[in-house]
Amino acid sequence: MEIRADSTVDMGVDLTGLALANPVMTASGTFGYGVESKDLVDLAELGAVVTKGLSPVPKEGNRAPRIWEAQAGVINSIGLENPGVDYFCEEYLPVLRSYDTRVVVNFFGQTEQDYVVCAATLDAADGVDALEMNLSCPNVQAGGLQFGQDPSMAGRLVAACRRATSKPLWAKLSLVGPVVEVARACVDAGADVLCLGNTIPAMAIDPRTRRPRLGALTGGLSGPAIHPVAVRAVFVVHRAELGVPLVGIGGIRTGLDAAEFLLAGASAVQVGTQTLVEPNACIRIRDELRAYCIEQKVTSVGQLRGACRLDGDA
Amino acid sequence: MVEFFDATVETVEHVTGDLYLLRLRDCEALASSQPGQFAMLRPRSWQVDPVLARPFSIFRTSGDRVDFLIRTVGRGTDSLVRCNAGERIDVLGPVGTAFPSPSHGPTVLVAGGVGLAPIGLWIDRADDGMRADATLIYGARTADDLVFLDELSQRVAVVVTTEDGSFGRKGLVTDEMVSLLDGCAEVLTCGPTRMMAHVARLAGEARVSCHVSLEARMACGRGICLGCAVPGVAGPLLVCRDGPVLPAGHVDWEQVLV
Ligand SMILES: Cc1cc2nc3c(=O)[nH]c(=O)nc-3n(C[C@H](O)[C@H](O)[C@H](O)COP(=O)(O)OP(=O)(O)OC[C@H]3O[C@@H](n4cnc5c(N)ncnc54)[C@H](O)[C@@H]3O)c2cc1C
Ligand SMILES: Cc1cc2nc3c(=O)[nH]c(=O)nc-3n(C[C@H](O)[C@H](O)[C@H](O)COP(=O)(O)O)c2cc1C
Ligand code: FES
Repeated sequence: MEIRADSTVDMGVDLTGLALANPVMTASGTFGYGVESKDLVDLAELGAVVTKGLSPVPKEGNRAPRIWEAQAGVINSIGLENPGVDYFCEEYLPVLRSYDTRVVVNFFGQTEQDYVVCAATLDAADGVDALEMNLSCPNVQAGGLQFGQDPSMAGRLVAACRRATSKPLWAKLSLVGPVVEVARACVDAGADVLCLGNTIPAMAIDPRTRRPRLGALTGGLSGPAIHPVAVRAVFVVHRAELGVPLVGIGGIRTGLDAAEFLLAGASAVQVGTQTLVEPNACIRIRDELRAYCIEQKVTSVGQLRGACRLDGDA
Repeated sequence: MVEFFDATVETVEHVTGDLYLLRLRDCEALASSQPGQFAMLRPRSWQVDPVLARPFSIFRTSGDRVDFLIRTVGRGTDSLVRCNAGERIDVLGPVGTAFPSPSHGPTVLVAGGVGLAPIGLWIDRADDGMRADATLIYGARTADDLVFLDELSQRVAVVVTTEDGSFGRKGLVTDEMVSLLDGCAEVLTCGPTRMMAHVARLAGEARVSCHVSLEARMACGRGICLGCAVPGVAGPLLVCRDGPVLPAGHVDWEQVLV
């Protein structure tokens, strides 16, 4: 019997009140604000557009070079350069709204107040479906310790943003540090979805010149190299049974890479580095994931969630 | 308009030293590329490593064929020139800004090493009048690094320099530039950054308009990742979107050279 791929598998997922047509989204910082790619990518085919991170006021980036290619990965030190949340709402959001796609807006800050300002602005903005907070930022009021490295600081930050918005609030965590404790603190503070995770701190040095490869000295590693680290993070957080959907992020290049995240416990995934080199990677990966569902004889992609077989399972 | 498509390797030819000519077919989208524009190339075989596509200037076009002049400097370029005929390559292009085409007055073209590539396309695309008015200063480390001299000499006046004096005049391109700047309308240059900074300074001192084609490490090639920023006098410039060809005066050379 011939199986028609598009009619046999339900690819829809529900992320605490936000329904996505399929579980494959772009990852923040690798798809701009969506509108830049409208001629290359059919935005309606994406699970969601996740925007580049925004701060309350425009932010400059780091000094060059900002990119170094490691083995099976990329180290970037862009520095969260962005035009500010108000500019986004005025210039990009109206265009984005005219496309039939879900819009998840990533934001960050240097203080709790920064985050709250962003959350309130995005809460009021028409066309923003969910807010994704990037917790991998130094808190300038706590000696530069990252919000997401300390469970109580992370919890306070999420609680403050929770009060500022009634829209779905996603917390994007670091893959290093006390992952489960931070995850629990975020959920207790009201996060609707956990995203795992951000780039991994990294560095490269040119042995001949003895100079760091990046202008900012260190950066964040993304791409295939971090995939198993992120799968493990999703797995342990899923096992902690915190009661919220998880989004797996890190090194996804194929439908099978995405499937691993779902089996580990994720409900959806985001594709970053591969989107940079292949603008429509999400759509191909969605199709490969659907083909995998057919091969595995599951009729809904949701059936893969946490379906990794462990000792004692049949 | 920029397109993302897959092309096929037709041939890879070793030209000389570490220079290769990569010819792709199925590149209709690049047929009308302007000189200075480039393409991001990524062989399908790369899969998990290398991760990122690499930028290369469009050197020549003919129908759906496009030639790239590639100098091997690392694992990406090494792997590209070892591609077999028939291999598929993901291509994003044409990307970026182009060199201007001055309609009157002498043009000085300054190419260093593989910086010849975009200058070569400028010469191809120029009309007879523009070519008659153009002088190419073409510099390399040594005679073995010089390519396509015969073809070039048939179309424009060429001054060759080599650092070791093994061909042409011994020295740097900039040594030959000053005498040509008198009455010159435009300087167009591509080559090592340090060379272009020097060219830009000489052109500026002679009050001649100058355009440079910058390089930077790139991830996306389409203004998305903000990875290719270089310091400009009015804030950072994205080489893939604001460039690669920029008026020399827009670049903050002091910062670029740090
Ligand atoms: C707009 C543009 C047009 C270009 N056109 C051409 C062309 O026509 N022909 C050609 O041969 N090359 C061209 N280049 C340079 C080419 O992209 C790089 O040489 C290539 O990306 C190196 O990849 P790799 O993996 O071989 O080197 P890597 O292993 O990544 O690096 C090897 C060495 O080269 C240096 N390097 C790598 N990339 C760059 C870069 N972009 N700029 C300066 N130094 C670099 C590194 O610092 C390192 O020391 C162009 C670059 C740009 C930005
Ligand atoms: C160039 C670049 C820029 C990024 N910018 C952001 C950002 O602004 N905010 C954020 O939360 N994550 C950002 N990230 C992290 C990605 O969203 C993603 O979490 C990470 O790259 C891992 O996924 P990948 O391996 O699929 O790329 C960025 C990553 C890259 C490569
Ligand atoms: S290479 Fe990504 S913005 Fe220029």
